Order: sequence, then C-alpha cells, then structure tokens
Amino acid sequence: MPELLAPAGDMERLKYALIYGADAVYIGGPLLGLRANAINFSFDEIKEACELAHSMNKKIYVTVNIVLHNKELKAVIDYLKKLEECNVDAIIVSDLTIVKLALEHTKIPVHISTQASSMNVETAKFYKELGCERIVLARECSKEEIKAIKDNVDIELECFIHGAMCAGISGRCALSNLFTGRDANRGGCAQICRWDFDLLSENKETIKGEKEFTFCAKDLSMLKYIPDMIDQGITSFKIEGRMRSIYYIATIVNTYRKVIDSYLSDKENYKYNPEYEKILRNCANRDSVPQFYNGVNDSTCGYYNGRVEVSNQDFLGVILDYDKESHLATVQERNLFKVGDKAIIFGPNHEDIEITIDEIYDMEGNTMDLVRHPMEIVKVRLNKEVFKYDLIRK
Amino acid sequence: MSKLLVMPKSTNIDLYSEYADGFIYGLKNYSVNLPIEVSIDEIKELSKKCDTLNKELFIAINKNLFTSELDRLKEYLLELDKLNIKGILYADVALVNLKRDGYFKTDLVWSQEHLTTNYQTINNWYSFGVKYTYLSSDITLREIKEIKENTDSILIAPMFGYIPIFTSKRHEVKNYLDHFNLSDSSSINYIEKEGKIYPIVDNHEGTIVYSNNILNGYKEYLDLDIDYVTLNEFNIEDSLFIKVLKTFKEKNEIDLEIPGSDKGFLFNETTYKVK
Repeated sequence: MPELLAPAGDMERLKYALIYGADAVYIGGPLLGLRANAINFSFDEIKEACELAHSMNKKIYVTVNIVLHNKELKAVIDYLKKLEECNVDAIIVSDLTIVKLALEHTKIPVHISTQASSMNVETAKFYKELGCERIVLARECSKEEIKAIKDNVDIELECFIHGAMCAGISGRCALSNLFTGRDANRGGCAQICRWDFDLLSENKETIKGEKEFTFCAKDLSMLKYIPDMIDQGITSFKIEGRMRSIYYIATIVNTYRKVIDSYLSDKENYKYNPEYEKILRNCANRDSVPQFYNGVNDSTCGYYNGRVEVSNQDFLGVILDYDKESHLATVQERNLFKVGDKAIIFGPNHEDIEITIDEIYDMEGNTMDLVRHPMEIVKVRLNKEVFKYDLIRK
Repeated sequence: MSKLLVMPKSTNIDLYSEYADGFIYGLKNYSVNLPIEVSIDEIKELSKKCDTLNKELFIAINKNLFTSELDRLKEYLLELDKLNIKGILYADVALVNLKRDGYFKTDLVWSQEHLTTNYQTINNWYSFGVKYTYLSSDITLREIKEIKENTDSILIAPMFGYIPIFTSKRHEVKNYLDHFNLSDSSSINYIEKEGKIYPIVDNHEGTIVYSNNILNGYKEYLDLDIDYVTLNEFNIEDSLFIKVLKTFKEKNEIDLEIPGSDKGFLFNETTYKVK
C-alpha cells in the first residue's frame, strides 16, 4: 500500500494532515530546510509531532534539503543529532555532505530530496549503495522513466502527486538569487518564475501575446493516474505545499485518501470520480495537469492567464465542536457566509454532508444574518452530527 | 597563474588558441548552458587539434539524464576515453556511478552550477574520485577563498561571461509562442523586467536563462591563483571576446572596462531568511 505524504507548516496543519488521512507528514525544522520563510517547527514541536504521529502509527519526515555554504557546515552534525533525539522517521536531504554526516553520525533514514533532481537508474544505484532509503524523484520523470528506475533498483521511490511545480529543474534555478538576492537553494525562493516579463526577439523587438510572458507552470495533479502509480509500485505519493492552509491540506489529503482507498479496496470495479477534480480545483483556484508524467511537455502545462490566484475562497469555516442535544455546531469563520447559503461539510470519517445554513447565532445567543469577520466564532444549527476538525466549504 | 578555459561559440579553436589554455565544449544532446555543442566526431577532431596545439580539452556532459539516455552515453564515454580529454563536466550523479563501475576512466568535474558551494561537499565528491570542481557562480569571493584553502580538488571558476541562472526541460519560449499563436525564429531571445534584459535560449534540451550582465571577475581572480578560470563566449561579440581573452592572458594592468558587465555574486552574498 502506498504512503500518502502530506506537507505541514505548523502543528495545526500537521494535525489536519494526519487526521484527514496522511500516512506521513513532512515538516521543516529550525535550520537547513528549503522553506526558510515558513514558520517551521522548533525541536520541541518536532518531538511533539513525532509523538502524535507515532501514536497514530504514522511518520514524520524533516526536510534538511538546503544546499550548504561554508558557513553552514559546522551546524550540521549537532542539528542531525537533535533531530534523531526527536525520533524523526527520516530526513529529506540533497547535499552530499548532509547525506554522509547523517549516515555516519545518526541512524535516521535518509531520503534524497527532489532538489537533487534524480531521474535515472545510475543515480538511484549511487544513492542506494550509499545507504539511502528512498529517492524523491525529479518532477520531470515520465511514467516510463519511473518504471525504469523501479524495475532496476531496489530503493523506495517517492513521487509528487499534487501541488505547485518549479518551472526549472530543481537545483538549477537561481532566478531568485539574481533578482532578489534570496537564495532559492537555501530556502529563500521568491518565485520569480511566477512573474510576468516582456519577451523580446533577437533584435530586441517585443513579441506580445494577449498576456505577458511567464515561466509559471500549472499545478500538478495526478488524480487520474493514481491507480496507475499504485500499480507501478511507487512507495510514497507526495503532496506539495508546506506553506498551505489547513483547508488546502485537509481537502487534498482527504481527496487522494479516498481515491487511493477506493482503488485498493476494489481494483476491478474502480471508477474515476471527476467530481474530485472540481473539489481540488476550487480549493487551490488554479488549473492543474499531470505535467511530465504522461510525456506531455507543451504549452498546455504553462499558466498564461495573467492573474494572481486567491486560494481558499470556498473555505467557509472550521467546526470546533458540536452539541448533539442542541444540534448547534461551534464554527470558526474563514470566509463570509450567511443564512440561506448552501454548503458542504466534509471530514475524515464521514461522507460529505450538504447543508443549507438556516440559523446562525453569536456566542451570546443572538441571531445573525451573516458572518463576515475571519476567525469569528459563531453557532450554526446543523441537524446532522458533525465533528471537531470537520471543515465547511461552499 | 590560473589557466584560461574558453567556452567558445566556434569549433575553430585557432581563433582563440593564441591566448586560451584550454576549451570546454558540450557533447551534443548531453549538455546544457554551453555556447555550442559538438558531436563525438567533432570532439575527435578537436582533441587532435588540441593535442597539436598543446591545449587542454574538457567536455561537458552536464544535463540531467534520463535512463533512456544512458546506453548511448556509455558508448560515447568509451569513445572519449580513447581521446586526450582532461575532464568531463557533469551535473548528474549517474556519471559518478558509471565511472565507479568502470564504464570509463576520464576524470570528472563536479559541475552542478548552483550547488558547488562549499568545501566539505567538494571534498566528499573528491573522495568519490571526482578530481575537479567547477565552482558555483553565485558564491562570494570570500567563500571561494575559503574553499580553495580547504580542498584538494582542482578548482575551476567562472570568471567572464553571462551566467546561466535557470535551466529547465520545459520549452518556455516555444510554449508561449504556441499558446498565443505567435511566430518567431530567433536563436536567442530576451526577457525584460524593470529595464533589465536577460538572454533566454529555448533549444532541444529545454530553456536556459542567463544573467542580464556579463560577469567580469578579472581583477578579483588575478591574485587568487585558482587552477582554472573560464571565459564564456555566449552572446558576446567575437572581437570583444578575443580582446578580453588577450587582455586576461597578457595580464594587462589596465582595468578592462566592459559595457554591461558586473561582478556577479562575488561581493553579493545571497540571503535566505527574510527579516
């Protein structure tokens, strides 16, 4: 059974990832990760995360995938030992120095990060012989290239199944370094590939389409190909997005969990459910395609809409509690909702519940017509039982 | 004194041989970020010529490789072993594994252009038999000095030319043109942002973007005694390039003023935590 691997930028998101069905969660620690500007986890929080995950028979991986400069070298061994004390299940690494130090000084399993852009049998053999447990393959790998590695090297393979894509080959992009001085290979990526540019000919004449030139790629979505990837024997299915919201993480994990479980429970009669596509698309508010997996690498993979997407707009609120006697749910608002709105409540342990919001009360029991303030806590009457950690979407 | 390695636009090495100590050419279909790529037969001719002129020849096999590309590559590596090739610049670890497994003997140059950033990792690759390192273009002069003091690896540093800053397997220019039904047959395009213009090349391997300015580290490398420094002719006029090469070789004391040049990252340390 493949592992469903989710991202988490903090403890709250980690809980949602685990509760909604992730088998493992990857997080950043206080140092040496590639999301230097995320909140990231302290050592105490990493320890707490590991205890929580292990109590649920799940795993925690920590990213240590920075490309080291001289001044970072001294910190590595102590840092790795502290991670080992936290009981992490693996570290995700790209720099050979960190790989070697981890293997020599700790017992933490090493996963080779996608930052190393591994895409062939010989590279996989190298890391296998070095003692690494797993390779996160480059996102440029097609189905056939993944199969070639799987068939020839006995090493765990992890593939991205959902989320934002780098335009460049991982590790070979320094756009952020040049444009902003922020080092993409040390966690400072400023996502220059999403900027608009003017494209010029060799004579420096402007070549203008309806929208500006950009490197921006559509998101990755492997929803349709999950059965195919399961049959290939890929060890771990990875979701991108350590800086994403609880809503995004819960929605994506929940959806892929259903697809994986549905296929594995009855391969013969499995049917693809296109409704899931809508859910995922609405959640991220971005188009997604399978990118390189099916060998397509053309203009359909690029994003030329010239707009900045605002995600989570269909996320209405979080269920904090439910009183079975009064049928009142305590809800924390995330986007405006009002009496008469239709919505869906989803959670990890039940089918989606369609509702019409009939009654809203403030915490003093006064009736309300609408809830407009983010994070405002209100009561909503719901006739069906819902649960803490359930979420409400449009 | 550092040896001058030229990444030329032409296979006519006579154009450069008076001043260059050696050359780097990309192997056709297996290299990226070089001004020109050449076939194995052309490499054989270049090797002969270099031997005659007492010049060193390096070959770049520096793309990220798929398994489906390895069988042909193994044949090429055996061919290269028969020639007097000083080193093979690689980005994909597959080359290290193939050498370790005895498929070829030619020395390797660790050349992952933005990842060769510290001496310990350089030393680790050295322990795997990688004799040379082509240093990252986005580290500082101070970091380069530290690396030199702490490694036995033979170092090659980018000294002059546009710096490759983005490599992709996507066809970014072609895809944009296709999407908006535009046509353009430029061999080099440019992207412009806030008045700065960056060369962009979309070829059969994908897309490469270069720095807006030409790196000119001549003065900085004069006394550094790095084993090799490179001069990349990409997008630079022949006459200017030869003039620069001559100046470097003759160690002219005059400051070489080159319009549109800067010091790259030599004095600009990158950060990664936004305060």
